[in-house]
Amino acid sequence: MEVTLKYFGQLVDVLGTHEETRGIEQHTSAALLDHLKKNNAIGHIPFQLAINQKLIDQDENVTLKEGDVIALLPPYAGG
Amino acid sequence: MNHYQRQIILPQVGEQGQQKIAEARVLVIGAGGLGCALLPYLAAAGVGHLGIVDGDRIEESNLHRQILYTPEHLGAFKVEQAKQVLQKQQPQCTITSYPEYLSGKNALELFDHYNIIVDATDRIDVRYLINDAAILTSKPVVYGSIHRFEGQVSVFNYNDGPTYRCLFPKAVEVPSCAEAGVLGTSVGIIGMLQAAEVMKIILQTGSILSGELLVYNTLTAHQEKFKFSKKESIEITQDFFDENHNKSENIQVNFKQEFLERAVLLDVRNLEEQPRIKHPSVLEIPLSELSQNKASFKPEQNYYVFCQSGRRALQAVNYLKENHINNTKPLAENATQLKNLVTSVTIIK
Repeated sequence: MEVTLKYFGQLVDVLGTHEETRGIEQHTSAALLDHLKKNNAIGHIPFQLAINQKLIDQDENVTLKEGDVIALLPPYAGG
Repeated sequence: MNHYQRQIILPQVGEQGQQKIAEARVLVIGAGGLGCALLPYLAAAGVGHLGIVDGDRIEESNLHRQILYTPEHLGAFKVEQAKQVLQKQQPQCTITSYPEYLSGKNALELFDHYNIIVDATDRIDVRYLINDAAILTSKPVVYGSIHRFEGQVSVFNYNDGPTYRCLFPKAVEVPSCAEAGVLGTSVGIIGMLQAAEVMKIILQTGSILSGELLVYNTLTAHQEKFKFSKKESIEITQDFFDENHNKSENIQVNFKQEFLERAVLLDVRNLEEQPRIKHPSVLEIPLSELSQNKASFKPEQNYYVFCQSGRRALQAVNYLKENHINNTKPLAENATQLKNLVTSVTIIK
């Protein structure tokens, strides 16, 4: 299933891109979150998931669909 | 009233709106980049009473983005200088400066005196403190934060709406501007978006960013809004507040006791980060170089670790403890606060 992943904050610094459209094997938000957290490059960065511009609870499990836009939103400290 | 004529002719403002602006009491937490951007516009619009809270003093590295300050102000309290400049620009505005850091001890009483709270800080733990104190005192919070070229803006606890904890439930450590770097124009834009939310709340006009997180990227000029909803499971009580904000496991430095005779203050920031704290008790070893300097740590020595946001200090404490340097604790103060303490007390050593 192909989705668009959008990165923000420190995730952009680490991954070097704002956005990528790619195939994923996971069919739920919980499985995807689990998969993303296991990625060594970004596993240490805290973030929330938003699916199609709506934030989801960490304990909420949403079924993903082809074409979903999934944003990874970390908190920022600076001011 | 000629002063405000150009905004009074807006149908969304009018004489009534101008009256609301004059009656507004806005408390701005943080007189750094965001605060310096939004304060002059709130004062100029005729906000009747502005409070500014910040214990920081002006440093040279602030001047590229904190536009209320000049080189001759170095070392002065930011809030005092901000007050002086704003008062000169807008004599009709009543400005109260609080040259102290927001804490669990002063937050609730301060918030009681204001209608709108602006979060313009640079520390995640203070953002949770502001959020929780605003819930207990029923005030809306206009939130802004920065990471490099991106900024987030939202309004929390507006008419009992979603809060910072609904957006980011867990407190985490993330880099500040001092660590990540920032352009003045980025904080300027985000500060101005916050000021615009404050004006809309006062005037009860437009759509307020309640339950929405706006993310603005100044490199691409893209902005995006994300919706989030109130989590009813999150309840902030006085007990919760006291538990989270009125006790600190971190050690506070005390220069007046024999504290320093027995302790080493370990600075784990990179050597180019300012301000440097030159003091006989301070040992400077960047986090990345701890492992190669492992042998120089003595297990019987007390080490109190600090950095800028507290994140690296915690990492260093964990690392040292893993290596059996057990008398190691994070300091409550960050480098800037420590610098202020070092310069304001006589050190007996």
